[in-house]
Amino acid sequence: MEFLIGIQGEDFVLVASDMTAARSVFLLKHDQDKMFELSSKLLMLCVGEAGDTVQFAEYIQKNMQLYKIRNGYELSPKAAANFTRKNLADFLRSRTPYMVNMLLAGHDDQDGPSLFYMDYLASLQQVPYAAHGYGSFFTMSVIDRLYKPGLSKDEAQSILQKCLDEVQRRFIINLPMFQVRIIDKDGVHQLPNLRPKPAV
Amino acid sequence: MLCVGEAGDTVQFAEYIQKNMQLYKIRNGYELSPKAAANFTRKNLADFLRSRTPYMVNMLLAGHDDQDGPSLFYMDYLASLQQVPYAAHGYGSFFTMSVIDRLYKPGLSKDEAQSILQKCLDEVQRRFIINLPMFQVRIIDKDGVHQLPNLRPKPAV
Repeated sequence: MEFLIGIQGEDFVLVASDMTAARSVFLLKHDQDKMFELSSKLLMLCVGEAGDTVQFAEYIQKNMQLYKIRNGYELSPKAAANFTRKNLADFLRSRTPYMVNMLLAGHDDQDGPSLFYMDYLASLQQVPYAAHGYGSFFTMSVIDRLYKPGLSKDEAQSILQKCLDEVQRRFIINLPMFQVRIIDKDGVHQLPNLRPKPAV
Repeated sequence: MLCVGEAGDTVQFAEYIQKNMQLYKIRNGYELSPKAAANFTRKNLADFLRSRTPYMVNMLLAGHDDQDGPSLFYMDYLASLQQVPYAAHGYGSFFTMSVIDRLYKPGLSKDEAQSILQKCLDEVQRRFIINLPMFQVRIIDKDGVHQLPNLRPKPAV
């Protein structure tokens, strides 16, 4: 029921997550933050099993801070993604697997912007755009149609708006509000929460 | 008759009952009362229930009789029938029954009932995970069935 989306542009990554926290048919919260700042220029969006998401995300977050304290510099997005994947894979075949699906979005001074798709089976792939959840069925085809490499911020935001409108129009679950952030060379910036147009 | 449930079964069963009621009117010259129609519907649903082809439909029957006044019947897919002052079907009923329990009193006016309905639909929109953006509203009184404007509840956030 939860939804994550990320689109890489020319020198930034635009990410959005829904803000609902629900248990079976009940909506508990409509302002849940599903994004975790792993470092100044790396963001992790995390959905999945209740509890596992926050536990795993904070575990990775604290380990990244520890690395910075020990070594004096932060892990690059690619290294952080692989570190996260290794941890998830190790837990997968233990008695306590974490059921989390993630998008990691970051900006590196050498490599530029990067978006990583990771699922609960610890498969990791760098991709230009990605989505998690049932909403991905609706949005991937929209982005497939509209995406081109080297998008500007406005173009990426308009694609995102179209994706969220499509989810609101055709997805049976109510996802009324989305949190949007952008990561570029200057770090992580919060954009205004997006409310898609009502379906009817 | 408001009918929800298995895709196809709803329309098939509802039209079957509808046509049989029209047949009754043609044969006998007068329409079935709401209570009689409800019991007729229940009997059909119960007969189908233990056949090879049960209908998976949940219904509300709402009517007005010159002798008995207004009546609302709750019927579920197991063919249980009960006349009730207020009712709801579906997951939304988990949210709305407590609202109506709090606000209902016998002898509501039309405006009071509509305000309770608006509160119920706002609650569903606020706390139910499924998106139900638009509701059709009708009212049945001594002058028949009247269509009210479609209701769009307030957005959840």
